[in-house]
Amino acid sequence: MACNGLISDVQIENVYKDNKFVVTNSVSSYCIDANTKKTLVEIFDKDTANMLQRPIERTYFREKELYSDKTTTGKVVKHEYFILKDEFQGKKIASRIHPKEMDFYRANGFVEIQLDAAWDGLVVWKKMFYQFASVKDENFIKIAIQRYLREVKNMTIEEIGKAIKSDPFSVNPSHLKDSSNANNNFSNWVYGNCFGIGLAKMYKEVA
Amino acid sequence: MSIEIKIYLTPTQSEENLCFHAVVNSKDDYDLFFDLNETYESLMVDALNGKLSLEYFDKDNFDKHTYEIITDNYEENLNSFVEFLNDFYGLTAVSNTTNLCEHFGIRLVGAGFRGNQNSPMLESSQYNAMNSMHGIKTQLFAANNTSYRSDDIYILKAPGSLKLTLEATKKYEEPINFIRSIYDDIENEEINPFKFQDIEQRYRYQSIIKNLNDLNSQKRLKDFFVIIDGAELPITKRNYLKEQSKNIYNEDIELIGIFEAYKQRSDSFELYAEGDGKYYCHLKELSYSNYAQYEIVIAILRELNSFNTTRIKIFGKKIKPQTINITNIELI
Repeated sequence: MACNGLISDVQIENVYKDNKFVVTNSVSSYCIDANTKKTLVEIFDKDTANMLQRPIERTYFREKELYSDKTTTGKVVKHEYFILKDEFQGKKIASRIHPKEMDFYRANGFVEIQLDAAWDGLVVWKKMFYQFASVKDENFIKIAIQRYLREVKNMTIEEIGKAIKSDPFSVNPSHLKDSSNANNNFSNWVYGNCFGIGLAKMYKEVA
Repeated sequence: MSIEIKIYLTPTQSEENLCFHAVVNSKDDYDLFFDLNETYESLMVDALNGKLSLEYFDKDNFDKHTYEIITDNYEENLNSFVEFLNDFYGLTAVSNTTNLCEHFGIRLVGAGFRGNQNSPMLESSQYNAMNSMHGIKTQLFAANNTSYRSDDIYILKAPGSLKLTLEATKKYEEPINFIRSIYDDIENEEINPFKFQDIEQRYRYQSIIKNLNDLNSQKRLKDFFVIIDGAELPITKRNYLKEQSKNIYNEDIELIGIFEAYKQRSDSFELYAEGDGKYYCHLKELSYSNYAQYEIVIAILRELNSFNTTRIKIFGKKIKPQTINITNIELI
């Protein structure tokens, strides 16, 4: 395939295993054009159970406008989906795979990872050093966090001030959970409040 | 705490005349959600111009979709936008039709609408007017008044004019009477900034006088009116108001408090007065008017150590609510 020069499926296969939970995988790719490759990855545990709600989806671009500097282009990977089934969440599978992805991108000359982050995961992405591509998106989530702490957790202004200091993304994750009622967790509240959840464009520089 | 969005559809359907108002129903929340209007209004501008395109995630199907408002029909886009705010952000949104295309005041008095530095959405005079309005609202309505709604008081701008309106309801009888008495004081040239025994009431009165003068001084917003209970009252004593707002804090004051570090750069020090908060005490005026006395004061200050809780008595003139021009100090 003409786009295979971008990155090979064998390399991709090696990335999406963590030698603990993810034992095997299957990779299928196709060229959107000579400079763009789309890859779908399925991952399986030791019992060959599919661990994903839908395949991991990555799009590799030889040239794409950078979120970090919209006046220029570069080699970019777009992270489309990585959604684990409920029973595999909380096992740090994604956070073990992410450094492997970073090494892999670095070795192949990628300059930026881009993704559309769902609101409920934004705090996590921010803590993994992803940046917002637009101030508007950042403001939406700040307001959502503040609304949650005020409306659901009934925190006072002083308590919110202490919890988020000057940056809502510094909030301790425990503030975004409700131990007595999981329906009141931030992620559930966001979905419960909305028909569809907004996606924020985020990026992380690879270098 | 609740957030309510009001969108006003104006007959002249241009971006210039869009009216958007995010209401947060308490003063504390106003401070917390300072970017609310700026954030949601930018979405509205895109929506009403038929240029809104947002990706969203459908959790049930684990799939991304695109939501668009892209028609050329202004009213249709407005209705879609109202639904969109509810569906996507869980906000209570309503749209009203108004014939007040000059009703831009609604935009000014929301939760801190301000644009940004490089692309200000308001003229500086409008921005200043908004700040003055916020100052008046702060003084009129107690922070813990849960019935308070920020659109109980707003500015109307007819061509070349500015109108401050306080909606009369039984709930707000006291604020309305209060501002009516201030209006009467201006018109009768009877401002007495110290007429209240209660110091909080006195500050409240002084602050509103200052803010009314600031509103009056906006070059682009002439012909200032106060509308109380539906009656339109033009403020005609502009020069008097200006003069009084300058003099309003010229009160001789003596205070006892704890000294904080002297700052050479501003030639001032801070004083914590028990139960009365922090005061900023300036010495520059004293150095001009009585240099010998200034040297005595400075000599006393040099001996003080801000790490100790040294109590001093200060004498001076109050020039702002928490700012004093010092004339003398004494160690206690």
